[in-house]
Amino acid sequence: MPIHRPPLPKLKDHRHRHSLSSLAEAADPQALVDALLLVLADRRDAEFVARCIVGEGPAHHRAASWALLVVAAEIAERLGCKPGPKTQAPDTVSVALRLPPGAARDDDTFPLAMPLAPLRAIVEPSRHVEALADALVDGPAHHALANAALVALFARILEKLDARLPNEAEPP
Amino acid sequence: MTAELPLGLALSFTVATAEIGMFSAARLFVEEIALTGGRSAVEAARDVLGRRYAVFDAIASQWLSRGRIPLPDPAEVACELADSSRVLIVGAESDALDRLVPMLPDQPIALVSGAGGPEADLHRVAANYPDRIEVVSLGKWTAWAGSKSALLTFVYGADDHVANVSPAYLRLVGPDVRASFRTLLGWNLLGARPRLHPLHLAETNVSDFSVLVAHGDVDWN
Repeated sequence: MPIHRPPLPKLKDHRHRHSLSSLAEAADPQALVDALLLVLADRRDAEFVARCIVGEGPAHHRAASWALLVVAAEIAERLGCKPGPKTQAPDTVSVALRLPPGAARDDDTFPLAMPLAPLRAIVEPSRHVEALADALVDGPAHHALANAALVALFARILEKLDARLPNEAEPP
Repeated sequence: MTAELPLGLALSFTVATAEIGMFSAARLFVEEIALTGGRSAVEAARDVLGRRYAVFDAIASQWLSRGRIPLPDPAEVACELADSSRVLIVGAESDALDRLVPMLPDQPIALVSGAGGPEADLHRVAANYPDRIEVVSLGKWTAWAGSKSALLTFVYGADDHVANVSPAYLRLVGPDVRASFRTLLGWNLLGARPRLHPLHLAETNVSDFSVLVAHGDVDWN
């Protein structure tokens, strides 16, 4: 007797139409390294951070983080940002490695620090900025680093926009 | 004609693999057997030990086909580790460490103990590198992690997808560990994967390493 199999429900959106391997294929790590070189001076640091973002965590997070960061880098580059950022601004928060508290040392944070200027542009007072920063750099490394990298790219974009002369700005 | 092999060869080789590493033990045994018994003795030893120790089979085959066994070249590994703040090593291979350690005069180096598998008294192994290598238990890996730290293990053959490693490496490495070391270095001592299934090794994805240093173009099969 044939087995009755109910028809699969028709998909109404784009969820789960693509295999995990196609997500991995789409998210080229080298493009992410290039994007990170807009906010990190050292290529090996950029490769480390890129590996943590697209090499760890759920597949949909990897691909989503990759897409957001590469798009942000594209915007930054179209505005004229070049690789090789200046020394990290003092107004930043570090992204800690997920290690238990122990002997203090100078490399227990990731090489990418998150600038606070983009958050200061949208909220005040400082305690709100700090609360948002806490939320952004909390969680597993792939999550915290993707957030910090996106905010760092936003910082470069905002710097570039702020530096534009008034007559270059779009009319209201 | 079957060459006469020393009694207790398999047992002594097993002890040696724990003391100096599988590659180093195989290289030493094949060269010594060749010295005393020649080609027929190496062939006989490969028959006796090869199925149990695929690394021995690969190295004996290398000697039989080329008459020599290339020693690990540490230059590329040292270059990759040059700016690391510290180096944590899973597994011990004396042929590799004897050459690498002098090239890293500034970095603290440690061997992981208690990660399972055949393991010698690593304090005795470390004593061969006075004041250069310390021994840390598996649970203390976090003290060696860092944004400039490196984790090194020995690879016994790899293809484009899979690498043979010590099972001890898999005891340590997971998503949190991978994100806690800037460099995840596999030092491939064999090149291609052995022709026999390595019973004492485990498989990991090549993509787990941030750097896989190859051992030239040696074809062991």
